[in-house]
Amino acid sequence: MTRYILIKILRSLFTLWIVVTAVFFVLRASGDPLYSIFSLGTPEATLDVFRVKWGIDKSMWQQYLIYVGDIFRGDFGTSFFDGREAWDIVMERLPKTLLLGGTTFSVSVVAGVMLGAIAALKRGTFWDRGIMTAAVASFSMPSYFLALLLILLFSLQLRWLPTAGASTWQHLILPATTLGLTLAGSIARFTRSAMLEVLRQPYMRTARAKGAPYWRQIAWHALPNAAIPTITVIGFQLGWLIGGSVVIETVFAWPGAGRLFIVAVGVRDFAVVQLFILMVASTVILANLLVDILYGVLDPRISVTGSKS
Amino acid sequence: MATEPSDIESLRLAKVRAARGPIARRLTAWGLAGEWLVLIAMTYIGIILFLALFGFLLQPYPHTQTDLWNQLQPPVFMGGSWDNILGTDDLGRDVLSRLLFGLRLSVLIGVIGTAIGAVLGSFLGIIAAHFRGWVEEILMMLVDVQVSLPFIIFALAVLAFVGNNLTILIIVVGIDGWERYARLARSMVLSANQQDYVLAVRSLGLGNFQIYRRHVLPNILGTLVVQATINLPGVILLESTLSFLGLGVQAPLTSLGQILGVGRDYLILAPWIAVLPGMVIFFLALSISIVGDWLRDRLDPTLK
Repeated sequence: MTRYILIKILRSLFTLWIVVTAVFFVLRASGDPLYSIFSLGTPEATLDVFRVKWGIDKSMWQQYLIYVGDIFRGDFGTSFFDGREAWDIVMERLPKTLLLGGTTFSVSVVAGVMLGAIAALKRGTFWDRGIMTAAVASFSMPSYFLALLLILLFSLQLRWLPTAGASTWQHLILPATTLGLTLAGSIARFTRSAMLEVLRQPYMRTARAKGAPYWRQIAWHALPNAAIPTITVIGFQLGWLIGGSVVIETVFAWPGAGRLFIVAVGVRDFAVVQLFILMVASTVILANLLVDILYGVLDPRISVTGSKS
Repeated sequence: MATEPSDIESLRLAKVRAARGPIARRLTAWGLAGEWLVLIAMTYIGIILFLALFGFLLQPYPHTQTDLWNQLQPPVFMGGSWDNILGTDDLGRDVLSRLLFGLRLSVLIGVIGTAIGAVLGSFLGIIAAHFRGWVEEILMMLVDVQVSLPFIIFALAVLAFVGNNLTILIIVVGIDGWERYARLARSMVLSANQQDYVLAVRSLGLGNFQIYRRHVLPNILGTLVVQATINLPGVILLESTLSFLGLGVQAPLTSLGQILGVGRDYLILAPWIAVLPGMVIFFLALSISIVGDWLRDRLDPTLK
């Protein structure tokens, strides 16, 4: 068990290293960033001064070694644009993203699991069909389009909610709803199939036979077992949530890290883009690692080593 | 997941099976009887494909033709004139013409992109399953890398840094989802290689290429095609999102997402510019998902 987890951790670190390296070389291969920062006709002598200052006068391999060395010392480089530490720039945006992501995640997990469970318990009825159709519709809907429709209805027509910004809690409602609907839809779908699987099991018949009340059959016997495959899926949805929040933060002018990324990508701000991608990849890799480990903890029948083969 | 249809479902099916007439019988034979949602979805996809292929014949104006005396005209059903059935945009361009042109490009990018991902991923998966050992290790490592980075973030970074034209866009969009085909193809080939029919043709001395082409591929193709159908809406949505953010299709070309991105700035004055392409994308993705789910349940219930 410990050995398996250690191997998993090493593998995750290796994956992260490949991501960092690939991103570094893809970004550098795209040409000299100075030409997109400075106006045309800036004397080469001036540009050279900045090249030396930012360390991009050296060969790509030297730059790479310096970059990786700096990461280990906790130095993620400076932004080409305002000369501040990339770390500080991303960190001041992060709380807003965590607020939006955290709200979305918790609300849609609760809603998705509940709707999925209802659909499974009322299988074949109007409720089941309705919830499942809504779930398919929710992830066929382009998130940015749903955002525009909600803005059109709740901000421009009804004038209930603000369109952009993040100063009050009302600002949170529209972006969180937009992001959460899609997430809740896919969670509901997975919960439903997990529940259906569980309801077929002999222990559910036993629970019924021994006269356990309905709520206890569901809450005590069915849901915990259905939770196991569902948690795996929810873990994988985290990456999707981060990707989606980049788009939604842009639409709602939410001052989070996702919007920072779009801006940084537009002006080719190496340090900020690299740090953002590094953080996203670490988050997703860490989440998958935790899901792997949690799997064994939640279901002692599956030894973690066994689930691998 | 419909392994044991409930009473309501089987009653409904029995009623439908009792239906007579050549059309009803044909529908039953194809497993479409009573699946009115799938039928509607198929009809919609058919219309969209027709418009994507032949829409240029119906296009009233060139999609780039501006008319600055005629900006932001509403569509007919909102009190506009029949000159521009679906209204005009901020530069007086005919929205219907732009929708038809954008639709063609969106469908084209979606289909080619999906095909690239399916072929690339399946090929790598087969290679990994055939050679095993370090080839397989490297492939699984690449799959891990791909999974660890949300694809839209990767796509945005590449398009912004490497530059953007239609070819790069199609390739980037095509990479999306390759790891799903790779995993699927790998596991299916691994199990196929243990099965008697492969062992039999191998012992008859057939070459590897012929075994995969003539025997293994036809057996796993169905599952891969179903997977492609399920991936297609995601690819279409990805392209539309990139174009919406301004990093996808670039003017003078246009796609549904790009029209929507422009319409976003005129949401109050001219909501039709954004809402119409959005509806088209939404129903397209929805229809393909419905048909994909139906195909999966019908052809390959193991995929889920």
